[in-house]
Amino acid sequence: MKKILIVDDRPMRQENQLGKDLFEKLCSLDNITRDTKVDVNGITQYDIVAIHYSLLDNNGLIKEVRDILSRSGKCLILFSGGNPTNRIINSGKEALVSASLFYSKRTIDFFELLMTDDIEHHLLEKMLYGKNWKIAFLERYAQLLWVNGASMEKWPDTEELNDDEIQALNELEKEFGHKSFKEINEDINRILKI
Amino acid sequence: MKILLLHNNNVPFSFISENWGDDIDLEIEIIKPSTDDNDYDVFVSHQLESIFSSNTFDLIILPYSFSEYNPIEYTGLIVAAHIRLTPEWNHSRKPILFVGSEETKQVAKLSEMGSMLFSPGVCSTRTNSLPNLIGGIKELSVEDITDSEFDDFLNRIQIPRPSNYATHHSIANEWAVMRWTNVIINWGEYEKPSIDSQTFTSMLYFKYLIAKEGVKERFSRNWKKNNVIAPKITGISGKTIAYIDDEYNKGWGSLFSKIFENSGAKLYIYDRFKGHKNRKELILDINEFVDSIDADCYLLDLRLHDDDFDKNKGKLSGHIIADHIKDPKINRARQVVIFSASDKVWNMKEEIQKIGAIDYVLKESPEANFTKEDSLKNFNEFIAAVKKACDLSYLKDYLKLLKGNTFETSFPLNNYIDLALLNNKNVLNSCVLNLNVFIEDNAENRFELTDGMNIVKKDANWKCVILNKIKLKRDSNKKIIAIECMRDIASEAKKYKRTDGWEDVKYDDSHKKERHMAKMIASLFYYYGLNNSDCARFFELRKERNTSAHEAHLTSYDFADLKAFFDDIIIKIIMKEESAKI
Repeated sequence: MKKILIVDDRPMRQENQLGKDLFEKLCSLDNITRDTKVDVNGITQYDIVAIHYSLLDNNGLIKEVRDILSRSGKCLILFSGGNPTNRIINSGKEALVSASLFYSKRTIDFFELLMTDDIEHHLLEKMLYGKNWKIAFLERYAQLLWVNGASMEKWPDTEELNDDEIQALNELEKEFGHKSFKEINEDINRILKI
Repeated sequence: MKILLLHNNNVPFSFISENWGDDIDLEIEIIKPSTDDNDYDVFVSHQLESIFSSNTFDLIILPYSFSEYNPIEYTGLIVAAHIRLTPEWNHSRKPILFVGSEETKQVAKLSEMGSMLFSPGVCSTRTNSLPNLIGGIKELSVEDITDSEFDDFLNRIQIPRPSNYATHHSIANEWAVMRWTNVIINWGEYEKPSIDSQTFTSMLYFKYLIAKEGVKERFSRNWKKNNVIAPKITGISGKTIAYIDDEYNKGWGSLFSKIFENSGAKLYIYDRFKGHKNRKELILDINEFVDSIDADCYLLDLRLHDDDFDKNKGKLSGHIIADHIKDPKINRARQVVIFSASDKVWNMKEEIQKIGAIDYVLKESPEANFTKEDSLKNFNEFIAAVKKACDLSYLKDYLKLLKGNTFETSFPLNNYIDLALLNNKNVLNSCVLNLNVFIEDNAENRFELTDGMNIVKKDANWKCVILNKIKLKRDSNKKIIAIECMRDIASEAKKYKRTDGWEDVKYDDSHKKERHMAKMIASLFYYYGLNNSDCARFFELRKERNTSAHEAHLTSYDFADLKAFFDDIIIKIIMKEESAKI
C-alpha cells in the first residue's frame, strides 16, 4: 500500500472540486491523510506528498520540501489552480498539475488503486496519464532513438550516444524490450487505437 | 531566410551543431524552465518576449515538447500557441514547423491542443536528417498566414481554462480590472495604479480570449479618441466607501483606491480573508468591519468563501452580510451595491431585490466577448451605482439620528425614509404627505393654543405669547397665501401693514383651519426656532400636499428638495426635542 499525504490550506476546495461522492470516497481511503498545514519533519513517511503550490510558496517551503522528498526518493505533487500545464520534472519524481486534474476522479481512482496494487514505479505518469502512461515512456524511447539519428528499423550507432542516453535507453529497453523506432511507433498506435 | 529553432537538447544534434547553408540565417534558443518556474505561461512569455523583441523570423521550428524527461507534456504546442496568440511579438502569423519522432495523429490524440497541428501555417516533419529538413523547408511556403486563416486557427484551437478561473476566481475579475485600468479610463494627469497583471496577461487562456475578442474590435481603432473617461466619480466627495470582495487584491483594491482618492472619497477595504478558514468566522469578522465603518456605500461581492460554491450550504456569504448591512435593528438604509463576477449569479435583478441592494454591477467577462463599448458601459454602470448609493446614504444618517430618540418610531418619518429608499419618483407625493403629517402631528400632539394668546407646549413648562404676533395674507379667494410670525412687535410690526394685505390670524371656532395652520407655524417659529423663510417652506410644502393630493398630479418636489427640507426643518425639530430631554 502506498501512503499519500494531501495538504491543502482550504479543505473546502477538495469537496467543491470533487463533488460530494468523490470527496466522500477520498475521505474513506485509508492510505490518504489530509492536512491543512505542512509538517516538513513528517513528510518522508508518505510515498506521495501532494501540496497546494501557493501554500508552500507563501510559507517559503518549496525548496526544503523538494530537497527532503528528493533525498528520500518520494514523489511530490504540487497542484495549483492557476496553471493548466501539467508537467513532470525532477526525473519523474515531481509533478506540477492543475488543481482540477488533481482533484478529479482519475486521481482518486488512482489513489484507491495504490491501496491494493503493488505499484512501485512511474507513479506520477500513472496518475497523470492513466492507461496511457506507457506512451510517455515509449515516446521517450522513440525520441532518444530519433534524436540520435536512428532510422525506422535500426538503432543509432552507440558512439552517437552520451552516457546518460545510453543509461536511459538501457532502462527503457529493460522495461519495454529492444525495439526499433518503427516498432515503438506501432506500439504507441496500438495503445492509442490509431 | 531567417529561422528560429527552439529546443531543449531534444532535437538531433546536427540540427544545432551543423551549418544550415548560406541562404539560411539560423538562430537557436533553448527553452528550459527551472524548477522554480511553476507557471509555464509566465516562463514562456518572459523567454519568448526577449527572443522576439529584437528579431524577425520567417519560420519557427520547434519540437512537440521541451521536456527532457516527458515527451507527452507537449509544451511545444503551448509555446507555438503563445507565438500565435501574442500579437505584440509580431510573429503571430508566421509559419511554424514541428519536428519530432511523433506522428501528428498521436499528438492530436494525446493533447487537447493537438488540433493546432491541422491549422493553417503549421506543418510537421519526422525527419532527423538535417539535409532532408533543409530540403523540406525550401519547399515550404513561408508566407504569413492571412487574417481568415488566423480566424480558422482560432476556431480550431482549444485552450483549457485554468481551474481557478473556472470556479472561485472568475477570469472576469482580472479581465475587468485590467480593461478598466488600461482601456477605458483616461488617466491623463492622474497617477495610474500599479496592477500586477503579469501572471494574468501571460496566461495562454487570456491571450486566447483577447485574440477572439480582438476579432470584434478590428473595426474600432479610433475608439480611444472618441471616448474619454476620467478616473473619478463626481459628486461623491467626502463620502465613505467600504469594499468587501475576496478578489480585492487582484488589482481592484489598487484601482478603487485611486478612483475614490481622485473623487475625494474615503475607501476602506476588508483585507482579512486569509485569516479565516471558517465561513461563519469570516462573516462575523466582515460584519464587525461593516459596523466599524459608517460607509455611504458598501461595495459587496456575493461569494466570499469556498463554501459559497457548495449549493447545499444555503445563502451565500454576501447575502448574509447584506442582511446584516440592511438589518433594521442596526440601520436598514445603509446602501449596498453588489459587485460580482458575471458567471456567479444568474438572476441578478432577483438577487438585488432579495438583498435590498440599491444596484448591482457585474464585472465584465471576456468570455462574453466584450467590446470596448461594453467595457465603457460596464464602468459607467459602476460609477452610476456608487453615485446612486452615495446619493441615498443621507437616509442612513436620518435613521442614525432617529435611533434611541423621541422620534425613533415616528410613523411618518419612518415611512418617509422607507419611501425615499425606493428612489422612485412615483413615491414623491407620499413623501411630501409624510413630512407634512409629521409636522402636523407634532404640533397637534405637543402644543396647544390658549385663547389666541399663547402657544403652550403640553409636555414641558414652556409658553410663548403669540397675541398679534402671527400675521397672514390672503388672495382674492380668501385663501391664505402667506403666514409669518414676529418675535418683537415693536420693531417688526411696521413690516406687516394692513395696506399690504397683512392681517392678524383669527383663532375662533369659525376659523379652525386658520388656527390649525397658526399653531403649526407658531410651534416651528417660537419653539423650534425656525425663521420665517423656513416656516414659509413648510407652508409651501403643505400647499403642495393639498394640490398634489386633490388634483392627483406628481409633485414638483424632487428628492433633493425633500432632503433639504428634512435637513433644515425636520432635523431642527428632532434636535430641539432631544436637547429638551436633557
